[in-house]
Amino acid sequence: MKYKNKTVEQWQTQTDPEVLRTVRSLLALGVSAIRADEGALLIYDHSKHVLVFADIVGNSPKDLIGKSVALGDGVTGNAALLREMQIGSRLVNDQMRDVEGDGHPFSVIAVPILIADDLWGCITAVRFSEGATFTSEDGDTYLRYASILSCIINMNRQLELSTGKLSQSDLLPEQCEEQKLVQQFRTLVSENPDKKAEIRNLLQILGNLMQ
Amino acid sequence: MPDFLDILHTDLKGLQYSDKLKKVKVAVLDTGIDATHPFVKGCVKESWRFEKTPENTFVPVKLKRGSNNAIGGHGTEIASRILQCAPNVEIVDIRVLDLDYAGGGGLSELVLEGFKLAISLGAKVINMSYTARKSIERKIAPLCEEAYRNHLIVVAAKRNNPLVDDLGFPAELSSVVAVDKASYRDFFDIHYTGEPPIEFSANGENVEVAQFNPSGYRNGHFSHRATGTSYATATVSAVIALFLGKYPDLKFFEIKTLLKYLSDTNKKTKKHISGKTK
Repeated sequence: MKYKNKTVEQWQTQTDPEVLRTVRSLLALGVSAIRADEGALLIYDHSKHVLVFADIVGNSPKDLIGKSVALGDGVTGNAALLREMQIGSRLVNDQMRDVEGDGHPFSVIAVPILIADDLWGCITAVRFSEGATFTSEDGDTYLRYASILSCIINMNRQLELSTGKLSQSDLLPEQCEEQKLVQQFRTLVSENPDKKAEIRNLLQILGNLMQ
Repeated sequence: MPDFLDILHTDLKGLQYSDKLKKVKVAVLDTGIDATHPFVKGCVKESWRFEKTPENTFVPVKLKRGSNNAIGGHGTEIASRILQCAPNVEIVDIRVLDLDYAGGGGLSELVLEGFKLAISLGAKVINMSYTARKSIERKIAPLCEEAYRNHLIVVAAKRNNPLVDDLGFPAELSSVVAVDKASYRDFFDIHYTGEPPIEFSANGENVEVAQFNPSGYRNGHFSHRATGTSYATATVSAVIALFLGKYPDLKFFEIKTLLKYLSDTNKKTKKHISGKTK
């Protein structure tokens, strides 16, 4: 299969098939729970500041997969930029900015998937019927599915890191920073084995300063 | 300024379109505003963003008036909501949610810089329709305190996500007016929750706001409906701006008292469609 986007290709081809199935099932459950017509999983491409459609549940044309939404653009882009759930609906007989080829939904929920403080992606749900607006309750329900997904994706990433399937370059920005700091500290300790007591004291002082 | 007991009985609806209201500067710290959008055109008095120096600090850069300073639509939505309610507002647009810093620690630094800029520009109301991370608490608390002591009113949104441990910052701080969303009838349906730190709720369910379009607005489609604490926060900022337009010397605690009184009045006249807060 030809993939439009490297991020999606990586997700579809390198993720454990069990994980892919679980994520898909959860997405479908979430869509059903809020009586949405369709749902989607989008992954954030940090290098381009866009979210890319990685999976669809429902009747949307599968050629949405690989299409992108800019950070900040529309309901989904807003949710990703603000890291907060967003609900948007169009006014009756009007248009709402959305993705080309997505069937012009009437109402959209977008929930970011965060790993620690980093944006990993989003899940969205849409309704097409005129007047079928999502409510806050729908949003809260869908949020719960997003947090379970976030947990699964995070655990899978930890496993892939430990087995070497995921490299340091695949880390999310804040994880990357943390890893660099941990590595620097390890190097400091290993290169100064006779200075462990001093390093410990300095860490204590640093910890006190941070409080 | 009149006696506070007289101020309590202010007719807000009458104020809304009064030509005797003073202009009030409201700083919108957000994703930046498209000042060309028909809903906000002419009302954005200043537009600012930040640029990073080689020394890794942020410097504010002022844009030409009437510019499109937006990364995405949220800031424009918020500004439009404020202006719908309070036509006496002069928006000061400060872009603190920036693409280059989304997904990384830089985001919090921009928020702090934007806050300092808003204080230095003399914005009477500072609207923060999003939540910053808990890690920002130690640094943002002194700024909110400074705003309080300078009689500036910070209005902040509660987190939309109920599954996170905290309610969002600076909303959790007692030196701000923290706002949750609910489904109410109109702008002036403000409800006192009775539960600090999120003490007020306002209409934030399915409200009409400006729809941002990077390609322009020639073909219509200026607005859509949105739900979130962001819009409730904008509503409260606007109501405060109306009060300040009539009584510019009102202090923070007086503003809170007025909002509480408004809530009590609304309850008596049963204006709320639903008292359910989220």
